[in-house]
Amino acid sequence: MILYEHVLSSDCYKLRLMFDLLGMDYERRPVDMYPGHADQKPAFRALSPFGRLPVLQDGNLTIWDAQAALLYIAERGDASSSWTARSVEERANIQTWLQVAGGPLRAVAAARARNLFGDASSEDGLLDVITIIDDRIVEQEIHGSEWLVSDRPTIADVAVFPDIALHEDAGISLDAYCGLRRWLGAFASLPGFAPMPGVASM
Amino acid sequence: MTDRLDSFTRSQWIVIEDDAGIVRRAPFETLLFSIPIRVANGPDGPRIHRLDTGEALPVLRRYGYVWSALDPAPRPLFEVPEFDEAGRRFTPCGPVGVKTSALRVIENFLDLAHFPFVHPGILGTESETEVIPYRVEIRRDVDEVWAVDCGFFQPKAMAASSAGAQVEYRYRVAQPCSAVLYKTSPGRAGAFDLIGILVRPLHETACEVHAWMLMWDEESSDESLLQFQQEIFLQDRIILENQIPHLLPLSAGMEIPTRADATSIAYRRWLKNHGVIWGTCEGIPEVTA
Repeated sequence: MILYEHVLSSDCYKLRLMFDLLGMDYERRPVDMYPGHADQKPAFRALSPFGRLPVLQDGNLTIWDAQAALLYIAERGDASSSWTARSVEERANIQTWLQVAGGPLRAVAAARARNLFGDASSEDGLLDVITIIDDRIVEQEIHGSEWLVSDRPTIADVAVFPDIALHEDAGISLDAYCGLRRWLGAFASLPGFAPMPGVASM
Repeated sequence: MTDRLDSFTRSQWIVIEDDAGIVRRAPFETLLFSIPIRVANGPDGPRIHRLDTGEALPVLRRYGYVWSALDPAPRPLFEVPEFDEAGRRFTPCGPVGVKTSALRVIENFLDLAHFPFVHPGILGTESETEVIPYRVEIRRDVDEVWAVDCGFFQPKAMAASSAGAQVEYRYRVAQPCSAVLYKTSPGRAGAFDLIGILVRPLHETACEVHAWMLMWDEESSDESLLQFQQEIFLQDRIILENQIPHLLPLSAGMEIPTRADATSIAYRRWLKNHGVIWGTCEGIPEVTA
């Protein structure tokens, strides 16, 4: 598989993480998102209509949504189906958190981009989404699990992890969010885990 | 804030934006030493004004960047003759914001000892952490700090490196907020590649860092060169933002130096000898920042 990506993008990091966690080989094709803004140019938009990284290619298939690509990698590479849904209920819950990763959580990525690259963006909903994810983890802990959806890590955890792990870049303190800090630590202990720049040691 | 602007700092050319960034962003507003400025681009080139007084600031175009200064008659900009060598490849890496003093960013850039810990597998390896003794000198003719004969084992010294190598380094502080690194080129025997950082202070503890590369490398793609450098800088950024105090101490005693810190000691002493206040702990009785 070919991953069109940027080394500093949290959405690209989640796909690199999935490959690493599954021990899969893939080809990295760097895109000059910054400072060249190549992701907004026609050549890249031919691959990704909204001009968003990452893009995953496998043969004739092109996937230009991070969550969809995450699901595809997990379904292709995980023979035990440990990372994807094993029941109808799990599928609904995983889908919910994939939607959070592709929706409200983008506010965190936007805050990080503004801090790093000076891009203007809104902070609306920034702490809401952090609180909601923290609440979820704490609730899961009460039920004996340390993961977002199940008693094992799934693609929902992989989808949400990068933006939360890069909170310092976004100027967000997790001091008040004990659940999130424990969850980050558990995630970073998974076999195959690899950090990226900006992910604080946990 | 601006009463902490010393005359040495005021008289320096400071980077504003790279040429491509000017074309893409202008007109835009930003900060220079806490002073709001407006950067416009016209047929006769960029123009820069202070927004508080309306005063026009001097503008210089050099090394692929646009520079300005608060002093109407700045000191001459430092010389980098390698920019005139045909065949070298120039890559500006785009600005990155960092919440710390510009001087802390320069000091970190000069530090060899952090490579194995902050950039493992790239610029250093945790099994080879020794910094070989090197020489530091103040070059009086150009009034710059140089560190020469620095050697270090690096697993992947540059984007074009295929294997680990013992790499020779020379460091140069050309201005309080500008430094250049000369490093053995994997692409051309006997030659040095240059990596530079130009830092614009937004406030005393916030800055914008412009990194550039000037290399002998015909192999690597622009994308891989950029991402190699950006990955390294973002590894530094999180360390820098967590380093306390954010202002650089110039007086002995606040931080305990080791022998590997000789360049940092010389840099701090050089700043102190020039009466630099901005971005330092000087004149701040109790630093809690």
